[in-house]
Amino acid sequence: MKKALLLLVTIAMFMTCLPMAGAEGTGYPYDGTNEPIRILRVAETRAVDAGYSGWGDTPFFKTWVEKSGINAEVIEVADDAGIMLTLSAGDYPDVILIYESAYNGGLNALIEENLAINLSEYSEYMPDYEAILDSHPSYRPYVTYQGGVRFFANLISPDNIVTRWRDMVVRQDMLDKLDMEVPTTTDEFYDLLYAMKNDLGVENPLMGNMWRDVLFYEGFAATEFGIPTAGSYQIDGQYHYGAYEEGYRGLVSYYHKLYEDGLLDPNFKTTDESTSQASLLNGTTGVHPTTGARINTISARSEDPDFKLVGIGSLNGSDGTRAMFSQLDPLTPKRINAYVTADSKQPELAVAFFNWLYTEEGTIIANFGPEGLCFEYDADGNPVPTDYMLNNPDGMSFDNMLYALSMANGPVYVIRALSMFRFGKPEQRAAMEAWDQNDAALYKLPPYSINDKALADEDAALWTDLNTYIRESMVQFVTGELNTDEDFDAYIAQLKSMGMDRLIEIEQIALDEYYAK
Amino acid sequence: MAQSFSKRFKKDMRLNWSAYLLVLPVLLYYAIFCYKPMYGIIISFKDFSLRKGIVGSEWVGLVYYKDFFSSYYFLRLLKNTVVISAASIAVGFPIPIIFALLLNEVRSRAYKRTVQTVSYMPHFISIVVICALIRLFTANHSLLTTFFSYFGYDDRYDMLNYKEYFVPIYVLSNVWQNTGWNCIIYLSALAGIDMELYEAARIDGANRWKQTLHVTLPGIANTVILLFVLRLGSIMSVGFEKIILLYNEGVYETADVISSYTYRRGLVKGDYAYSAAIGLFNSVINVIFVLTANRASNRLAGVGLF
Repeated sequence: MKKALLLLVTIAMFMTCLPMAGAEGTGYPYDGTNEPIRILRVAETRAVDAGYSGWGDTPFFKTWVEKSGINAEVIEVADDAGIMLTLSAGDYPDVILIYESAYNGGLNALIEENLAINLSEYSEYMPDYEAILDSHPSYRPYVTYQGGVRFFANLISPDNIVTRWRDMVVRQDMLDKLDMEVPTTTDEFYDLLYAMKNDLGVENPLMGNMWRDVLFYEGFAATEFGIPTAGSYQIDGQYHYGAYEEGYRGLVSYYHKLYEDGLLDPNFKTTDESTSQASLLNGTTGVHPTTGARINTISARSEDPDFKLVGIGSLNGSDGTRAMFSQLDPLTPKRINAYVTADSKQPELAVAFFNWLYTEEGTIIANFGPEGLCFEYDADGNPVPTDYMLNNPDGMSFDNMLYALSMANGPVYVIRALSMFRFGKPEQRAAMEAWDQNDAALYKLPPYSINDKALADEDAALWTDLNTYIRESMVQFVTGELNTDEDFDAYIAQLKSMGMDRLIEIEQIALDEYYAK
Repeated sequence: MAQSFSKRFKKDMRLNWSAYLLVLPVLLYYAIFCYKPMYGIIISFKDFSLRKGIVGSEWVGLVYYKDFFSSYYFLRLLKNTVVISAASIAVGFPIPIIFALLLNEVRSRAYKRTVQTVSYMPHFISIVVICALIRLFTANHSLLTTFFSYFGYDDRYDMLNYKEYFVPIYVLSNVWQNTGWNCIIYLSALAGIDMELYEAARIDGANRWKQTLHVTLPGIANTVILLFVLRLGSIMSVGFEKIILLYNEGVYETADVISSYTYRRGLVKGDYAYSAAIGLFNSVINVIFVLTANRASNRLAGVGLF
């Protein structure tokens, strides 16, 4: 009898130890005998373009399954609506891969509908993810809600350069012809455009369909007028909206002057990306808002050997104030997250499966794809993409190959080595460094969201109208249809009557909640 | 002696069972795919949650309707939707009829076929490509702007910059895309007119124009009226795809319609209840239009849908 009891206890101990061994981080691979973890996601069409029958069929996914030793299968649907349909048909997977914003009601609804369980209850199965969450103060508040970690997220390492990817560029060869430097203030910027137009005969000196983002929401010229951006920002935890501040008057009249003097593309509202890129290449424009990745693709298309692009960062104030704002992604960009559902029969394994992506080996593979096929180590031990990734036979770009064969857009810890490959050309890196000369981190809002359903609905209703009005007035101020002297006060009064103050109040509540975490 | 309905029905069933069998799939189709899902519109009064389902979600009353009606832009959206739709009908409805009449007069079969094929081809091009073409044709120094510059248009500017041009561009490009396709049904109606009527008209001394006026037009009048009544039933349905592919914030004043506004409001977020509310609102207005038009045509022309 005693012996039997002892045996039982031993067996019990043995059984509890088994999964624990895996959880220590040393336990991979598991034994691969489990029922497959079912993962629901929107189809990654680039995997199909790369010649695989689906994302679940890629060498990346197979390597993930093999190295973690946990069986898994992928259910791919056409779009977000497909996910909703699958769920409403009562077919609940173990894990859902989805953008939070694609789910009506966001994280709050996901939790309420038992689609995002508290992962912290299984923290012994995700030691590597926990370790990364602890490695930077901005990670844990981002994934924590209602008392626990709720999803596996796309996290960017602090030494990365991918968080700065959009701003202004100018043709260096034009600067050389004019014997001018890269402008740093609004006056210098005006002078440059003016000289381009009048000395070089450039038809539309400033042109590009990212004007909304760069000129307004990323505050390219706003510092001079005392606001960081035309969009939202914070000072000491207080929510502000630039287009509702007095400084905005100066900003729009500055752009109106550019428009009036023929320096800004007269068709700025309608010009598309390919037209403005063509203009930059043929010299009918010289200054252009663009992205780090595009610096490469545009330059590659040029037949002019002197063609070279340099970055212009956000402009400083003429009184010496350092530029306050620019495009700057948080280290926690809102990409595709992995949520474990309450219907999962094996949440421990689902958690362990995704934790593998954050192990040392998993991180490299999730960033680059499987070793041998997608990358090799160079002499210094750094991962280097293979020819298959860089010049693949189907003519797919490196970025698209990454989307197909790694976790590029999903739950992964994005390491510096990867971004050096995506933006590693000296021209790109120089531009991105120029774009980085500002205090955006001080004014940037954290990635908070409104979690109360009633407030979120009220916010959405207010915002659709307000945003329509703000955007409409924005172009009217630039073209002169609205006059900054006569119409600006009425514009502010109109925003007020449409509930701008209430909107700011709601955003402030949500922001306070975030900081309280 | 008059029999009760059920008795007559049973008898008829026995006699014509094959006809009833044929109609059964159609009835089932309507019951399953058109009538059964209709109860789903109740989600426009509910805080819809996938997990709780259509029946289980909580009632919230008229919240979404209030949201929409109290929008600062409600009247403008309504006006733009109706203007774009009405202009599409005013211009886009008669043109295929005239086109069909002209084609009908063409004697060379080969030429007629060619024209018909060429003219309905654009119907099959994706709206994204169509809009890209429209943008190209109306851009600065392009096909249309250069042409109009001979009439005083400043061709340094894209036509889509101007709010006054948006509706004409939208409507006329629709005409270009759909005239060929829409005239097919009239051509078939024309083919159904009894040739003896033309013969009789000729004997009575009617020339080509008189024949068109007194034989051809009355011959297709019923088709025209029915299609017109049906067309009025979609007066509130201006799809957002073409709008959002063509508009910009400078032309919101004439271009922003109900569907594009709801798109911005966040249909992308899967806000099904809100969009169901707006869909129901549109449908109610559409039904009112169909009923009124049907009644008018019944009274004035003696034909109608029902």
